[in-house]
Amino acid sequence: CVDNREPSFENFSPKEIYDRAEYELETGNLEDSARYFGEVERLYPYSEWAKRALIMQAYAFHWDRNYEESRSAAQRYIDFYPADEDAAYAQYLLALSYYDQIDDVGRDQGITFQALQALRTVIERYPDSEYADSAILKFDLAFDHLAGKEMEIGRYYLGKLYYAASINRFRVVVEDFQTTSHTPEALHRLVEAYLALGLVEEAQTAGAILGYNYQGSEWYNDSYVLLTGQGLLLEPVGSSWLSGIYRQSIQGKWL
Amino acid sequence: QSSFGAIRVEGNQRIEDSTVLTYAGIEPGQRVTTGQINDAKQRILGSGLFESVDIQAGRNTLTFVVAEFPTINQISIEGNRRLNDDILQALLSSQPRRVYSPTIAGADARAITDAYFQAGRFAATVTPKIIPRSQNRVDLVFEVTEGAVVEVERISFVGNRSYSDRRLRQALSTKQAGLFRQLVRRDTYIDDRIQFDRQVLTDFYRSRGFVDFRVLSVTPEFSRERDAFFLTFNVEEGQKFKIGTVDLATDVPGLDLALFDGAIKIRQGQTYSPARLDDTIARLERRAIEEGIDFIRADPVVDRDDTNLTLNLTFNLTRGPRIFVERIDIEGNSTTLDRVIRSQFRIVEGDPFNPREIRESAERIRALGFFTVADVNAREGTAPDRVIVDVNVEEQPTGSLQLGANFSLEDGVGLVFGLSERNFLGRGQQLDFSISGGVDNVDSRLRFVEPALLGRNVTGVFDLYYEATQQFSAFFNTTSLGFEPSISFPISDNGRLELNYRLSDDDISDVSDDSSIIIQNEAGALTTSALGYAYNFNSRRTSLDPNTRYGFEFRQNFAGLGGQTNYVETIVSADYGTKVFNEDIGLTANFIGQALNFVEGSSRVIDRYRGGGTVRGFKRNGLGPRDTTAINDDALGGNFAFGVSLEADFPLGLPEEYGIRGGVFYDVGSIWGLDITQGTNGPVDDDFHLRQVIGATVFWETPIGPLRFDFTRAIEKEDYDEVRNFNFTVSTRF
Amino acid sequence: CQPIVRNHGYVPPEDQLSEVSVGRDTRDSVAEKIGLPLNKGIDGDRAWYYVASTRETFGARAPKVVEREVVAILFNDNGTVRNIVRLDEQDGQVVTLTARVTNPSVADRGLLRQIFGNVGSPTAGDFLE
Repeated sequence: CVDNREPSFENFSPKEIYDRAEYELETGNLEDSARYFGEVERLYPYSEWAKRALIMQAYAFHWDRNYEESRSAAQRYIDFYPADEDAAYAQYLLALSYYDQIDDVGRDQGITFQALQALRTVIERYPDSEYADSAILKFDLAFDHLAGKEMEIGRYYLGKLYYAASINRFRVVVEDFQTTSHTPEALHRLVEAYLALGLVEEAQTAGAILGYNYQGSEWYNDSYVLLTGQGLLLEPVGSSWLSGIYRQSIQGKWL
Repeated sequence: QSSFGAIRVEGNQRIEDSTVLTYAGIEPGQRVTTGQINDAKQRILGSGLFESVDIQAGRNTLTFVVAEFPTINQISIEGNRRLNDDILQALLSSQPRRVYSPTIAGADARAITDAYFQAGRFAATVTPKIIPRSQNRVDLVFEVTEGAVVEVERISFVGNRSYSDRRLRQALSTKQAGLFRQLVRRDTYIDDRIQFDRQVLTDFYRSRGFVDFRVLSVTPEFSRERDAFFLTFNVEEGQKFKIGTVDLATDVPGLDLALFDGAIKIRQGQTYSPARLDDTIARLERRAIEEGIDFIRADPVVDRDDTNLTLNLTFNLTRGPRIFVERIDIEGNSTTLDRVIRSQFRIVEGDPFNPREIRESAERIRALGFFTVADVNAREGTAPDRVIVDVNVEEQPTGSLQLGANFSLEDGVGLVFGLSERNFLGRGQQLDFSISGGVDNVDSRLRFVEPALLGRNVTGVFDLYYEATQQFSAFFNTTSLGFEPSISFPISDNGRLELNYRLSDDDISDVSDDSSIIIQNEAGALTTSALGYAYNFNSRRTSLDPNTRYGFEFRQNFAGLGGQTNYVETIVSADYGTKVFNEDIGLTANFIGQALNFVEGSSRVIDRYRGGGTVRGFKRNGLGPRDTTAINDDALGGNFAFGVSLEADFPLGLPEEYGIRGGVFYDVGSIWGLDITQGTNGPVDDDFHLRQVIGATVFWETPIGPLRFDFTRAIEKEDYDEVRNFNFTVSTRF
Repeated sequence: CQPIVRNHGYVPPEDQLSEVSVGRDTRDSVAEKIGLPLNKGIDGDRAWYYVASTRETFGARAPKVVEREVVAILFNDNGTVRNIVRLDEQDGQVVTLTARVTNPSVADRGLLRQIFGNVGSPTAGDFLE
């Protein structure tokens, strides 16, 4: 038996269902509007309305934070109407569905990779579409987030005095992620780690690169203090074990 | 070769011309061979959107005549009772609004039949059907005929001499169709479960020294009328081997074998088992790492001595391949922080690669209990001597709500309510809040656990508790409110040390006038501020023999660091458990000794030991010093207590799917010693008097929860003790 | 109670190290004799580092690096070995790490949402399945 919970639109014209769906969208009833747009596509798959309903469905699902459905609707649009001018928007929505799920830097990086790939498709396949610029912006942010993940692991090893392991992670940031906001910190961490190992020349090289490219940054000041032994660290860290427990166990900080 | 000025598409309704052309990939005016045209046709077909594609090559125009697959309007499944729509719908790759394709629908039908095979319904058949609808759309219907369930009625064994049919059945996961047949679905006949059982049987025998054990055949007989199976495992046990000589050898230059003595725990005469061999290998390789020698592999060489049934073992230490862990990448942790998982690894990036360490780390990650799936595997890195360890996890909800109830004649009905989050903020921290209440007591507790205090391998626990008892079984009320921070850390493989501090306020109130003068004088509230430590040893942490476990704890608390009480409390406890007679019978022994020495002032009834858990068979506060000269005949408890209990549990010969086992136990112990012995109208006897109790128990595992009936008889007690001969407890969580 | 001892990293054994000679060996021959390094300098081709360390943990105290060996193979411009330097834990400086962090670009989830975003379904005793 075909259960038909939804109001049956069998005898409505595609335009009427489309308008009803648009009305639901305007009143903020995202879930219903997505469903009604879906009905247009289901009942009249070959009508001109079906194409517009499909992209609107992806849009509605996206803002309803139902990323799974939004992706499958966007993917259907790209399969059926790849040459259409809204295909760029469908691809962009697909990328957003991953991007909006990127979570706190300390957590899953699998989603960040998928976001980067989807954003790259938007930038490469539709370079002159109106979405290319914001795709590039979001690509950089996701890329920066990936660098943040490397830094977080580097700091984990640095905090536990595994200097060699931390150096490798910070060098990945300096080499593969130079354009991100984490590079100055990565260079400073290299200064710290190399000094701790006693490799003073390497520390000075890292400090020089930091000085040359990021003269005004706080990171450079900290490195300067370490390398020259003069001046004070900007914010001396509370050293008692109690403040350590408060910062790490309560606030979740790394040190 | 020819070229066409125009390329056109006909017959398409939903798919646009431009879409077909992008798939075809031929430009107007491009010189194309017939082969290339055919490739274009294949590409269009390959898109899966079209039922057929024909080519009409005119003088100057190339036309692709396409016929689109219809679009699926709705998908439904009919005739399924055992597996509901949600389970089956999830298996389908055909989807409403997508294009219908007969191949995909056929694959979906097979997926549904496989699901029925797994549920034990071998006779299930599934046929996809199409109902045409308007606008070139179709409804897709899967018609299912489920067929009867096939169940395993009885399992029997041929050729088993050393272990009884019952013991083997217990080891197998397929239980016979028993008392709770409809409730429990595990006994349906599933082909791969039988393969699994063959493996379980083999492991069972192999780990008990039967090196040559083989399952010759598994013969199912089909009972026509009750559509159930009789299953017979035909086995050949072979001989039971013990371990002969154990030697160590190496071909690594300059490796001093003396470094490794003490690492081998396997000894001559023990029963041979693969687990023992594996453990020795692990110990040898770990000892090599501890000595700073990398890449040492221990390869066992086994030579059989069939005459006196022994296996002589030689562990050959060789230098394994020099491979390093380049990176550890963790994915799938959407709430858990990376450091919580990464800290489960004992190695760091750049360390030598040891497959055993990776396996052990995977176990530790799974033991966190935050993940349904935790796969840890190594793949080649950026150089042949480099490996990248990939950790893929899938998280499960770690917050939970516990509601429970337990009943015992002694305490009456008890309700338990608990809210706990085992992975608070994804930091691996634990936050629990629980209230448990009985007829006359309530115990509420808030607990916060930080497994890696200051990033170290130190567990920090913070407890806040409130306990209150009413009049029911004693003639006064008590309320205790306190908090107890503590830290604990490993100091050896099996040993842990705990340091704790307790600040509590304990109040005795509403003491009835008919009660003992001693208790009346103890009324009022006192604060206790105590530092304490505890050493805990538990063999389970690295024990090899799954059947034997033993533990020991020595705990001391020093009250008097501020507060109004000043005493030293010492608690010693030990337990031992093993299985004998081919693991049919379980033996356990428990010991507990407690001493409370007040340096200043005297102990109060709230501090003293009142019999909970030392000796069974007595009412609550039923044994120990008692002021018989007072009207209420109050139990006063004692500063000292000890209890030893020896228990055996065994099968009662009933078919084991009833889940009923028997047990006997012997408890001996005492409670004695008071600071003030002058009672209401005379001295109170606080000397040491032994109490001995024998008892029998019936355990019954029911789906509602474990039931336990205890019958006890005190064979030596004081006349003023209050005995209970029968106790019945059930505890359930729902 | 004795400390818990852990070894990390890798430094080639003496017999293999002694085969590397200044001036004659190139990057390839060094990799041949003692394996590729796990740590390199900022300019990857100028310096190769092999680091191994031993740390001890006493009870609840922070782990302490008791021994560390750093072998540095430095190359000159034509790719031959310029110098071999060996350092131990004494050569390392005591560095106070900066606690500041470049804040993550994606907004951190609110504390409350983190707390209640994870309370899963009650773990009812599912004795039917």
